[in-house]
Amino acid sequence: MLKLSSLIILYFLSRVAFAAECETFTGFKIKEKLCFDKSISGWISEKCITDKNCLAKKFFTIKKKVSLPDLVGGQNPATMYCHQLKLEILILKDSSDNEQSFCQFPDRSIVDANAVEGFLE
Amino acid sequence: MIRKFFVFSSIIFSTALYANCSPVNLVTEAKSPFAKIPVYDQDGLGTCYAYAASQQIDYYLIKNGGERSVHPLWAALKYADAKNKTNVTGGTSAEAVKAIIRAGNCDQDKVSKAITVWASKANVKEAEVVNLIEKLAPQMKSQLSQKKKKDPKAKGLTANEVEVAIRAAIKEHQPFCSAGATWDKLIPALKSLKVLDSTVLLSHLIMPECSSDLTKLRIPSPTILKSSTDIGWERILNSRLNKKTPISMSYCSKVLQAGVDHRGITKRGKVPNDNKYGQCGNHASLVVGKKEIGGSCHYLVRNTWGTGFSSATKKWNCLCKNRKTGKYLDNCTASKHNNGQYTVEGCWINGKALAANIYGGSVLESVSVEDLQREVMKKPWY
Repeated sequence: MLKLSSLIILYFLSRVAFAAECETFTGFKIKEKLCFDKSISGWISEKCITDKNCLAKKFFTIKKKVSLPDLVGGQNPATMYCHQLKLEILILKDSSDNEQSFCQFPDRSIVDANAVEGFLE
Repeated sequence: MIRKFFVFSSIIFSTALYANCSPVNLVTEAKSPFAKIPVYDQDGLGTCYAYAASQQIDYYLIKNGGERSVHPLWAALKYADAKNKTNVTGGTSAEAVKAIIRAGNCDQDKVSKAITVWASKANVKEAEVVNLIEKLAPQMKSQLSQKKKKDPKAKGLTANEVEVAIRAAIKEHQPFCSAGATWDKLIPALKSLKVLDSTVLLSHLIMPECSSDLTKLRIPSPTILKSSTDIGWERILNSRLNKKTPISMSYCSKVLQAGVDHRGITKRGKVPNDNKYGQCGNHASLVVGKKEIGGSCHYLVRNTWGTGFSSATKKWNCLCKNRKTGKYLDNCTASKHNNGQYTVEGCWINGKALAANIYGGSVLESVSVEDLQREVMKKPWY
């Protein structure tokens, strides 16, 4: 009995410890629940946390060489990596109205532009 | 004796400089206007100067009892208008502020609403409309110059030729645009505009909302900051921050990624105009705080590259905000705090490194009665 209850407690503790931070970001005609994925150090569509075939998650399996274009007028370098990869760019707002760039893949999955930049570096 | 004198004076000098590094943080101070100004992400738009200008004005307005009012795109448009520029990429924030003072302000909600109408028609994001327009005017110009090569007397483009230019701009823009975009729906309206200038095109987009009821902003004209030395820039930052004034600085942003040893400015008194990210990375941001870290002065830089940890935050201690509680966490780092719980509000950049990369700046400051009296006393009374 004691063993069983400690196992249950352990299970719940591990769920709390590994629970991903999730938040709904909004943009023009889009509302998306994103979760922070520690393995890629960035926000990603909630569905990608469990779906390994999601393109945004798959992107992080093979390293790619992408050079940064010339930047003009203080363009965000992370965003420009999305441009270079021919991915769509989304600027989404968090609950405090702060803005953040994301790259969108053809299957509509979304990932933090900073995570893409970090992976390509 | 001479050596002693030099050692003594250098101690006095460095003490005087760092005595000025008493902590100031315009983000975390009570009732900070920055609580009402979001951290922006300028995406692929080259309008950093306009983002800096709009934040600078909004800070001033909120501090003086007003509301957040200026849309960065309005700042960019008015700057381009004033400078007779045909696009909104690149500029200086002081000139953008002056342009808004002269032209008046169209409230940020109205600007947002106007762009949203167009974005909604084309089923794209707001920034994409601006990007497309930036590509459209050069296309129209190239159409016209090709036409003039064949017929030097040609004066303008026909409606069909304008449509060719619009379609070419859309094609050029295509790799970057949203799936499901319905650009064709914009063609009739764009055709009727028939102008060769991005600035004018953008103004036409916004004009229905902003042709009247422009607000005269009660803000001071920007004070231009200049220095020919790195130490001079540190002194300027310190003195302005001591007066609780955010500084809009033009600088080589490469320092953010490259770290303390980077020097993007090779010659003082000249704006680095390399456009190559590898050398300078011309940029504009606000400086909003100072404090000592590890014995040297550091400045809090509020960037417009979103709220995440990135290559630009990796080398520095940052100021973070807890997403849930709203509490600030100072000295947060990418290695420990990039876990989704925090937004990055700004980063503390080494003072010497930052000063070595600043090539311009401006502030919005009210002139106090004491300052005026001092100025009057300086001038001859006869």
